[in-house]
Amino acid sequence: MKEILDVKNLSKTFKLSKKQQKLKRLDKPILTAVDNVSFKSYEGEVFGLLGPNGAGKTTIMRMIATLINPISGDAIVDGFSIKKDPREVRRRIGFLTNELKLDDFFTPNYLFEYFADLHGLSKSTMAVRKEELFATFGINDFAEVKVANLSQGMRQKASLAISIVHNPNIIIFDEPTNGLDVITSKVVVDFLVRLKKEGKNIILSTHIFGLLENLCDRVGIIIDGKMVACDTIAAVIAEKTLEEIFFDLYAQTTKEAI
Amino acid sequence: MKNNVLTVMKKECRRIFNDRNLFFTTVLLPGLIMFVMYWFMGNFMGDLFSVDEEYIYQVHAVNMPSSVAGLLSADELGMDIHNISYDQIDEIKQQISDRETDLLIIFPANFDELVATFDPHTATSPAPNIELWHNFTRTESNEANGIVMAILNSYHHALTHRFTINLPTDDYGGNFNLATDADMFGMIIGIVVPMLFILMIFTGAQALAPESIAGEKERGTLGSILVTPARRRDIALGKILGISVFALMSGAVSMFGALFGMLSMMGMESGGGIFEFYTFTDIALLLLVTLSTTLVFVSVLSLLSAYAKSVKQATGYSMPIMIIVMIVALGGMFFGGVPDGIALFFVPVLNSSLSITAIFSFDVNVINILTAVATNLAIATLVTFLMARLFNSERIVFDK
Repeated sequence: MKEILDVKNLSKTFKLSKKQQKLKRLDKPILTAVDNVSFKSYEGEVFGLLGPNGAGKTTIMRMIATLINPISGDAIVDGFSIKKDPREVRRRIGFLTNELKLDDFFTPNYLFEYFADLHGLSKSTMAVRKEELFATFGINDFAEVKVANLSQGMRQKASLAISIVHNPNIIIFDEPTNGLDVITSKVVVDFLVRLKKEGKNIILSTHIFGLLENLCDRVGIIIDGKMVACDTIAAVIAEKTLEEIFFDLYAQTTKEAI
Repeated sequence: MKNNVLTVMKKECRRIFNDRNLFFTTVLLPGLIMFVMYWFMGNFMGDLFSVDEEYIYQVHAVNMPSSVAGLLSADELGMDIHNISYDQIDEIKQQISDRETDLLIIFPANFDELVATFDPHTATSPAPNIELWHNFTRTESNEANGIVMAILNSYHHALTHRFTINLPTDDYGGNFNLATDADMFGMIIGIVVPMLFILMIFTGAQALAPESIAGEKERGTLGSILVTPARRRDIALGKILGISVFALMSGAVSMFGALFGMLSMMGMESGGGIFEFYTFTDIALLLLVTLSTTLVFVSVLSLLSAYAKSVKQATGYSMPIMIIVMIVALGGMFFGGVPDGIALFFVPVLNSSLSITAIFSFDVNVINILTAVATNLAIATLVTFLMARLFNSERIVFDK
């Protein structure tokens, strides 16, 4: 199988203020967010990253999306290094997270065209994509309404459509259902299922066990910045449920009883 | 890849054009305020400090000599001279103090004879002295004092040096000033407008840059752009150019507001006069200076906004810069004209202030002004490059 993503010994540290150091009770003002993490994902797979809040999932996603730089290690995305060819990586990925939002002052229609332009799409390609995605997500009804006036569900639909305006081969979802109501969460999950059926490569971080079990082909469990388990979902849940496996690993790693 | 600079720039423009409140307060309002302020000052202050042409000054004189009486009795001066005695001096002083009459002149007795015999080279006693009593706060009194003072000064010179200085004649009246309207306009505009203009461009940029950069960061929309394959340099340049369009519009509207308001203030009602005074080269140079100055302000404020965590913090960061800009722009007013040397045209802000002063006061040195433009463009390019580097920093996207 062709490797779509090869994460190699990726590490990331953050400098902390004295206040942050005190709060985290660390000896040094440096936080190791990701510690020598490696994993691979293959063509057509959905790779799930599971971990508690603050485990380092988002940092890994941001490094793969080239928004932040690793202090060591590298990741090869569809043949391109995040360190050497970040623009080529960005051409090939769609990145969706609740932290990156759409500008309130514009309409979904305008923003779709704006991001299509930034991705270098021709007018004709953009028109075809818009027709297809707006129909899929039912965006036509509110295409000319400013984002500020849209409901959360409508915004999420617009965000999803815009994140894949350039029809990327790899789509990265960082906790895509975080903070969403059940209706909007369903929109996202349905979208993920649709992408999987289309054969897209998906990297997904979440702490929803069911989603990972149903959707993922391969899963990695991150705790305290370290990859403590990584295998196919079938292998991981051979004896126990994913939830049981996760809490066992969490207790072993952190020495905290759950 | 299509031109992402243009894409980002168009979005910035659309953002401001679509926000009527922002467009009005940033682009139109400053110019409107300028015009109304100067128009009001012109009309209000003009009325306040001018005397009705039909007004007859009430002048009281003690020991009025026949020589001076002849000079002051000219019809065009519009003076009603009342000869009074020493006993009435206190009463008239009180009336002047009470703003009821205009002027009191006290000559020594036998003034003409004293002056005729007085020789400043051999005299052992003081020269004959004339007292002029007036009330500075009453426009009519002040004006009468000025007229009489001017006449007496001329008379004084005529007697001492045996020739006259600017005595009113039938041909010239009392006005021997050969400055044209253009000179007068250029002198006043050259002093006041550069600082105002620079400040207006700065405030225009200040209103938009924090919102465009720190605002996008605060709202989480900057990351969405940075995750596209658009070059950081293109994003930075697109934003800077987009903001510059509006800062320029704001500056231009403000300047025209100030110019037309000043024309009104100076009693020069013809707006077309501005364009008669200046050549195409002047206007082209002014545009270059304005554009390059705007790019400096926008790029510096954008860089600060990229460092800031929020719009509020970005606005806070820009305040010390504004004070520096004010001081440096104000500094341009104190050179008593435009220096000939090229050195000061390498100093940002000051070079813009001096260039604008030079253009408005018809003292253009093209090399100096082009040096200022080149310096400004070099600074804007450097800062844009730094901002593009900054967009590569994770701190810019996620430090909230």
